[in-house]
Amino acid sequence: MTILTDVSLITCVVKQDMSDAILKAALEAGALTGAISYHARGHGARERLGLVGIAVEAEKDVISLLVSSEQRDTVFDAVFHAGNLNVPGNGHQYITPLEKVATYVPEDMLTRLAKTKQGA
Amino acid sequence: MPQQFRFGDYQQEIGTGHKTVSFNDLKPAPKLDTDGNLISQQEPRIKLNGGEIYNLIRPYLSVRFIGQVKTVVPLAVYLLLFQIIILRQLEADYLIITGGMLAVILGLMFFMEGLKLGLMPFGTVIGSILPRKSPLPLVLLVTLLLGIGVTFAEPAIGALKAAGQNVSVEQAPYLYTLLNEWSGALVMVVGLSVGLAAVLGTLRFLYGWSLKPMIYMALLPLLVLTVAAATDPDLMSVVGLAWDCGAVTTGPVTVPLVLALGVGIASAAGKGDSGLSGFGIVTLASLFPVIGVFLLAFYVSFTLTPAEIIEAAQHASAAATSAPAWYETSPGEEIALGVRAILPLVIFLYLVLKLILREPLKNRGEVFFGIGLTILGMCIFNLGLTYGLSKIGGDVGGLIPAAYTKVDGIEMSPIYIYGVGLALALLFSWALGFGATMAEPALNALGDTTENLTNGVFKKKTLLFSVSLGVACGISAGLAKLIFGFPLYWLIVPTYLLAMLLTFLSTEEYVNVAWDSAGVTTGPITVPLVLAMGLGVGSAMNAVEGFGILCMASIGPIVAVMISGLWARHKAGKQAAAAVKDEPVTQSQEAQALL
Repeated sequence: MTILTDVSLITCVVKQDMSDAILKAALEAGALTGAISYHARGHGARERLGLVGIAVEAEKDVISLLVSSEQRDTVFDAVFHAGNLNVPGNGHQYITPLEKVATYVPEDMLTRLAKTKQGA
Repeated sequence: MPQQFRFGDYQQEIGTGHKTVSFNDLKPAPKLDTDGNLISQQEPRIKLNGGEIYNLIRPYLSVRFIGQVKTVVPLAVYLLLFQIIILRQLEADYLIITGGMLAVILGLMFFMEGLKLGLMPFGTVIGSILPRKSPLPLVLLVTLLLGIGVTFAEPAIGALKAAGQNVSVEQAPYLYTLLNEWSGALVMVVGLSVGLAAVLGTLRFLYGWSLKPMIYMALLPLLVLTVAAATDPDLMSVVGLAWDCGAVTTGPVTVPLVLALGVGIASAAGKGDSGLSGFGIVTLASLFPVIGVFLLAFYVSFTLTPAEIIEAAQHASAAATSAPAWYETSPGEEIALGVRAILPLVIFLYLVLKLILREPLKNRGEVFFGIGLTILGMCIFNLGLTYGLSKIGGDVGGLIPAAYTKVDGIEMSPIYIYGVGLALALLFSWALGFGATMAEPALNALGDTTENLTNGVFKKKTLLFSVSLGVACGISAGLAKLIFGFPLYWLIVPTYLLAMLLTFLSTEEYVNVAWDSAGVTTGPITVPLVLAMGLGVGSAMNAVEGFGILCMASIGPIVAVMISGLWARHKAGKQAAAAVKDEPVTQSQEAQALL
C-alpha cells in the first residue's frame, strides 16, 4: 500500500455556471488529479441579505480538489480569481489539511521518484 | 552565487495580497445564561454598500436579460430584414416597435423570474405534500382547478383575445362573438379542458396507461367535430380558432406547474421513476381545448342566430360612443389584464396551501416579491405584446401578400411576379418557423430527455432538427392555406389521420415524445408573432379569418418526429441484423449497432 502524505483538500462552493471555468483554472494551476464536483443547495446568505438575497443563487456546485501541500496556495489563488470569489454571492472555498491519502500510484511514477531520490 | 528559493515558499512567506481576519471577530461570542445554556442570538441582517449590491445584482440580471434577448432579438431582426430587403418597405413606427420589443424582453424576464420565486415554490410544495395528505378525488379536483387557473395566467392567451378585435362580424358572426362577448367563456372552456387533460394525464401516470388509446379517443371526436363544423357555413370560420387554442395553452406557466403536481402524485404512489412520467399531459392539454372550443361554438350556434349576433354587435358599437374607462384603453387595459390573469391563480394556490395542506409558507417575503414580479412582468409583457410582437407580426403579415399580388395602400405591389413572390413568401415563413423553433430553450431540454429515454437511438440533434423542420413546414402550409383560401380541414383531417397511423406504428416512447414536442414549440414569443402574422395576411387578403397557422405548426413536428423515430428504429434494426449476420462480430460493429 502506498500512502500519500502532504495532501491538502481544497473545497470550492461556487456558482453553477462558473464551475467549468473554475475546474479549468484549477487544472491549469496543477490540480491535475483528484477533482470531483457535485450539486448542492446553499443556505444562509440568501436569508440574511433581505431583498437583494434573491440575486444569490441557492443552487451551487461543490468542487473538491486534492492537491499537494506545495501546490495548495497556487490552486487556491487560481480558484479565487477564476470564480470571482471577491464578489458577493459567488461562493467560497476552504483548505483542509489531510493526514493520509491512499490510492493507486502508477509504477512509472514510483520508479522515477526512487531514481531522483537516489540522484539527490 | 545567488541563493535559490522555491517560488511557492516565497509566495507563502510574503502572503501576497492576502488579509487574514479571524472568523471569531466577525461572529458574536456565544453567551450562556446562568444555567449554562446557550442564549440564541439573532444575527443582524448583512448590509451591503452600493458597489457590492451592484456586483451582486449585475450578473444576476444580465444572465436573465441576455437569455430573453437571445430568443427575441434574432426573430425581430429577421422580420425587419425581410421587410426591408424583400418587401422593400421600412417599418414606419420602428421606435414604437423597438420599445415594444424591449417591453417583451423585460416583461418575460420579470415574469419568468417571478414565476421561479413566487409560483414554483407553491407548485413544488403542493405537488410533493398534497398527494400524500389528501384522498385522490380531492387531489384530482385541485388538479382540475389548477388547470383553469394556469390557463388564465398564460401570457399567450392575451394574444388570442387581442385577435378578436379585427374580425368582421358580418363575415364570421360566430367567430366574432366567441372572441368578443364570449371571450371569457372561451378562456374558461379552454381552462376547463386543460384541467381535464391534467386530471387524465395524472391518472395515466398513476395507472401506467398507454398514451396511444388516449390519443385515438381524443382525436376521433375531434375530427368528427372538425368536419361537422367545417361543413356548416356559419361555423366554418371557427375551425381555425378552435385548433389554434390548443397550441396557445401549453406555455411557460401551465407546463411546469401542472407537471409538478402530476409528477408529485405519481411519485407519492411510488410510480414516479418510470422514464415516461411527465409526458402526456402536454399532449392532452393541447388536444382537449380544441374539443372544448368546438363544443362551445356548437352551443353558441344553438342559442344564437347570426342575425342576432350582428344586431347585438351593432348595438354594442353604437353604445360604445361614451368614453371608455381607464381599464379599457391601451396602457390601463394591459395592466388590468395582467393583474386579472395572475391574482386568481395565486389566491387559489394560497388557499390550497392554507386550507387543505395547512402548511406554512416558507420565505414569505421572497414569495410575495416573486408574485409581484410575475404580475409586473405580465403587465409589461402585455404592453410589449400590443406594441411590439403583435404589431410587427401584423405588419409583416399585412405586407407578405404584397410580394405577389396587388394590395391596396402599397404602391409597388405586386413587388415580384406572382410565382417568385409566392415562393419568397412561403420560404420566408418556412425559415421563420425553423429559426424560431431551433432557438426555443424548452426544446433543448426535451432533446436531452429523449436521448436518455431511447438509450441514444434518437439523437438530440435529430429531434431538434425534425421538430424545427416540422414547425417550418407546418407554418408554410398554414400560410399557404391563407393565401389560397382553401378550408383548413383539408389540411387538418389528412395530417391528423396520418399522425394516428404513425402513432399506431410507433412505440410508446416515440409517441410520447412526438406528441409532447408539439406543445414545446409554441412558446410565449412564437404564438403571438405567428398569430398576428396570420391575421395580418388574412386581413390583407380580405380573408374571413387568419387562424390555422399555429395548429399546423403543432401537427408538423408530431408527424416529423414520429417519421424520424420510425426511421431511426428501422436503421438501428437493420444495423443490428447486419451485425448478427456478419460473424464474427467486431467490437466496432457492435458499438455502431448500439448507436
